[in-house]
Amino acid sequence: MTAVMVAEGLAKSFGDLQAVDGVGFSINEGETYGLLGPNGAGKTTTISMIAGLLEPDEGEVRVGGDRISPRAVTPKRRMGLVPQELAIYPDLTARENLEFFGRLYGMGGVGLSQRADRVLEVVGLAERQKDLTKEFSGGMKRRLNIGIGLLHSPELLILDEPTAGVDPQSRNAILEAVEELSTAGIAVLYTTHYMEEAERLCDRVGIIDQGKIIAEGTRRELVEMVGEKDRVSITGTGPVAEVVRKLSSTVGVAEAGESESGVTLLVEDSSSHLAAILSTAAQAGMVVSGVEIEQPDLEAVFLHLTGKALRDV
Amino acid sequence: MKVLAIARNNLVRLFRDRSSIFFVFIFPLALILLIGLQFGGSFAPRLGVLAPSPGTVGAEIIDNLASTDGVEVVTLSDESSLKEGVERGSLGAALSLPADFDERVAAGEMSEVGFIARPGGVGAALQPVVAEVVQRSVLAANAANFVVTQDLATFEEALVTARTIEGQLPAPEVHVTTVGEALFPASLGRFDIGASSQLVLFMFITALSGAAVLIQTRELGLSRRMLVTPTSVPTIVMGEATGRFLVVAVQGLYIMAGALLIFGVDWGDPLAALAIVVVFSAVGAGAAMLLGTLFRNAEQAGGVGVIVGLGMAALGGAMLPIQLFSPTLQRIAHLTPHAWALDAFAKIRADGGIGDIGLELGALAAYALVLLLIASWRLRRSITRP
Amino acid sequence: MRNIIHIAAKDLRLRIRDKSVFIIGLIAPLALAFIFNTVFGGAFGDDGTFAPALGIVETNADQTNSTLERITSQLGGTWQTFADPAAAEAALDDGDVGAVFVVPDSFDADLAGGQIGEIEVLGAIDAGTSTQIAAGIARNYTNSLQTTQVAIASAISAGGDPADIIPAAIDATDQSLISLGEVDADVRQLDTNTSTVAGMAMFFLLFTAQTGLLSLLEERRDGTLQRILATPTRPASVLAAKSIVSIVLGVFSLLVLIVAGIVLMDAKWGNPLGVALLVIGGVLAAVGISAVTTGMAKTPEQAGNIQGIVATVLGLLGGAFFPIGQNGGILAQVTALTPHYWFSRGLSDLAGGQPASAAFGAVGWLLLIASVTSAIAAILSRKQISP
Repeated sequence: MTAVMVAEGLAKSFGDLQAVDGVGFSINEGETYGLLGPNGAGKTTTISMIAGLLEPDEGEVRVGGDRISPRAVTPKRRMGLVPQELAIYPDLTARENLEFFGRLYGMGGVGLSQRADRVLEVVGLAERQKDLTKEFSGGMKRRLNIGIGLLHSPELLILDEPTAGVDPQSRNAILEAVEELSTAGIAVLYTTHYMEEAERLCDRVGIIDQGKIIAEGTRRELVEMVGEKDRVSITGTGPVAEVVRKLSSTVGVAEAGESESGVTLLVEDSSSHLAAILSTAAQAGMVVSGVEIEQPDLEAVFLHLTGKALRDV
Repeated sequence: MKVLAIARNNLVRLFRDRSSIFFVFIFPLALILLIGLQFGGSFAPRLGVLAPSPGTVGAEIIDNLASTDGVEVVTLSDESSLKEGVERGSLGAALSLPADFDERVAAGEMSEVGFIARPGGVGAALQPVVAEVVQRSVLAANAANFVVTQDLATFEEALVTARTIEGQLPAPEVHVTTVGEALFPASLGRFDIGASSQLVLFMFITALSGAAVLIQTRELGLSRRMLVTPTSVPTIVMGEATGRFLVVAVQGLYIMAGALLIFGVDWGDPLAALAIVVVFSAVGAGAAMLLGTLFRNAEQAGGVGVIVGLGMAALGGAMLPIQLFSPTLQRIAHLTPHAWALDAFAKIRADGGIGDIGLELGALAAYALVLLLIASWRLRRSITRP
Repeated sequence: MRNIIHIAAKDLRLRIRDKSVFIIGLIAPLALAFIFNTVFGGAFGDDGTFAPALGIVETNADQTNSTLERITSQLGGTWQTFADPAAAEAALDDGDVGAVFVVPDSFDADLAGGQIGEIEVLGAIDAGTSTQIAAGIARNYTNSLQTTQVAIASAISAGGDPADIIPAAIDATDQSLISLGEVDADVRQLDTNTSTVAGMAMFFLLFTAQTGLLSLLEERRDGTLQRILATPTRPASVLAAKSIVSIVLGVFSLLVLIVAGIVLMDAKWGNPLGVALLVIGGVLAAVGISAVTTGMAKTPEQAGNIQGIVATVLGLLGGAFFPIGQNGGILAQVTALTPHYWFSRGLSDLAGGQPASAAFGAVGWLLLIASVTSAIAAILSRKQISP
């Protein structure tokens, strides 16, 4: 697999604030890479350096082998950026917006026109292409915002929190669109502070906090890296204290305790040990009315790594 | 109470914007100062004089010119600035005495003095004035020269005799009497006229800039939001109008106080002056409300506001005194509220009281009422219909 | 860089869609110039010429009054005649006439009999210049009378024979040691119409010239600048495109105003090449100044506000509203720092059919203002072009 983008040792400070401190990662062809972190973690600064909007203090970014900088023109052709905030002209039509940015990417003539038709189709704005975008609904503007990033068929598409402040329906449409991109072989760099989005879309995730990537890998790798266990809650009636005592010594159970409605356990690889756990509980005299298993997620990983919940930050 | 709340909101927004503080409070006083410095002296044409070695006669010419009313003498030191001054109009005309002027006059020889003016200009028309002063100064020398031509004495001897005789012999007199009442009484301070003109000019422009605020309020949907609260349409309309009124009145009172304290401007009877400011503020508020309902785009309303504000000020005599207008134009000028307000200020400056400006106040009140009625009707429509 | 053209074309399209630029760039200056011309032109006379309105009181039209004849011969052909001083005073009060000569019927006779007469000049109080001119004409006459008297008396006291002296002295009345050589100066001044159109054009140019650069801040606020910079476009190209838009709009509005000035207000602009150079210099200076004010601001609103202040102060100091610094002093120095002053000055230099080269000096100063402000703006704008 060839890397479309390689970032190495990126650092950037604004005055006393060290916004990004030694960030490095790479994205391969057709891969969706999630940059996950709370607001203010350095996601946007990192993306700005990758997109060639900011000159890093240290480190470098290479796209298709060419080094990126604000003045480097060639490698920028390979990338598309979808900024977090809407970045479209309200007094231009949808089509004029697309064609303007297309020209800046060096497109023109019939090629540009056909490509604009295609993108308008993809983002579902073909029928409204001649309307000024200030007449558009929020969701339509969002779709155009993403469409502009796709227009010149980039090898790498950077999406900076594309779902921030979007209603659930549009959000789902956006997520589906990103999944399609990945199937089409486009490399995607996706930043978000929504865990569930990263879990759904990303092949690999980098967790960024206070300007550093503190963990990186597939979801499974990350979970294993931090050694998180599955949480198994058994609801039922019976001699709870006795059940807890028996379960504590059962294989695979790391921790057991009483809960309001029964017993809560932390279990290593719950799928292989669940049968044994349930029979132990039954033997101890518990009438089980329900079982719930929570597998560890990126939220838990984040909590583990930083000691703070993602959404609170 | 709600009216006051909406009005207060308007004032707070005004004071939060730093550039409006400049235009509302700093700029008008700066302009009164500038205009006072620029025009406070006199409107008299300026006569440049170049006299490298004037001698007694030359000095007498300069003194006599300087003591002539209606001409302001400026002494210059080089020929080129003299010429350029006339060409560019900073001098009405110029008088250039040759370098050997003193010697030649003392020796009874002929000499030529240059009078430089643009053809047709006011300076050229001053030629008889300058010629007269020059000839008067050289009167004794001319008489002495005549004695020399008759071979009766040397120039020096004859000049002494002629000077004595000139002093003793009664001369025919020219008596100048001025007729009429001065447009600008001599008692008028250098900042006085500028102050009332700038007052009405800026109050009106400030008022019109409020139109943009009104449009923004509407654009942001704030008017509709207010309508959702238990506030009636007339209350909102009154509140917005009161807001505009207060902004303008605050500026008017500030300029009055500032001009009085800093430049010692005499506004006349305080009660009457206050009445003019209040009624004129109401006119401004009405005009702003109307303008605000005529446009949908705040920037366009702002642009039109500047045109209307400066245009009406010029037409209403706030840039050039209305007395200098042609009679027809003076009548047209009185279509603007500015002209009425300025008339009222002129009357109270001439020791009139509030009783003397009833007509002017009435005209202004009528303006305010008509504008407010039309604007309320339009505003009511624009906020109740989407 | 083709992208400069793409961005500039997009911006021009946006400016044209938003009509504000037409109001500020064309309608406002024309409307105000028209009003100012109507108001000021009526007061000063359209061509800037001045002719005193003078009159005489002639109580007895049958009798020849040689003094009055001498005086009217100085008036250049036109004067009003009043039957009595009361009629003259009424005319003075109404402003129909500026000054009136009143010569007593007995003046000539008195003079011949050795009596001293008196000529009266009645002047309207607000027509000081006309009054002084009338007094000057009257005194010129009495001076010549007095010169003759002194000459005769001096000659007689030096031992001359009155029978020879008196006719000789009367013959020599108009001979003077000092003659006034009249020199007509060139006119390097604009007429009222042209100068108000020029002043208004330059005043509003500062707003028009800002629109292009202002959109840089708007794009920064709206995120589209970031998006443009993510495309293969150099930051300097964006700045160049914005400057081009400012220059194009500025030149366009000035040219339209110049043509409209000719058609609607009979403005006289002088040598077309010289005017074109002044337009370019004036626009570049205005764009330079706008670049500085825009560079000082963080938001478009702030930039607009600063520009409003700067444009108004420069307009006033530059004499766009009324002439400034004509009386010398500090104002004369301050006004020379404004592009308004040099634009008008350049046009004045072209007045009276001067060749284009007459305006080179003013164009040079405009370009100097443009370069200094652009240099400052270049330093200021470094921050703005980054996202």
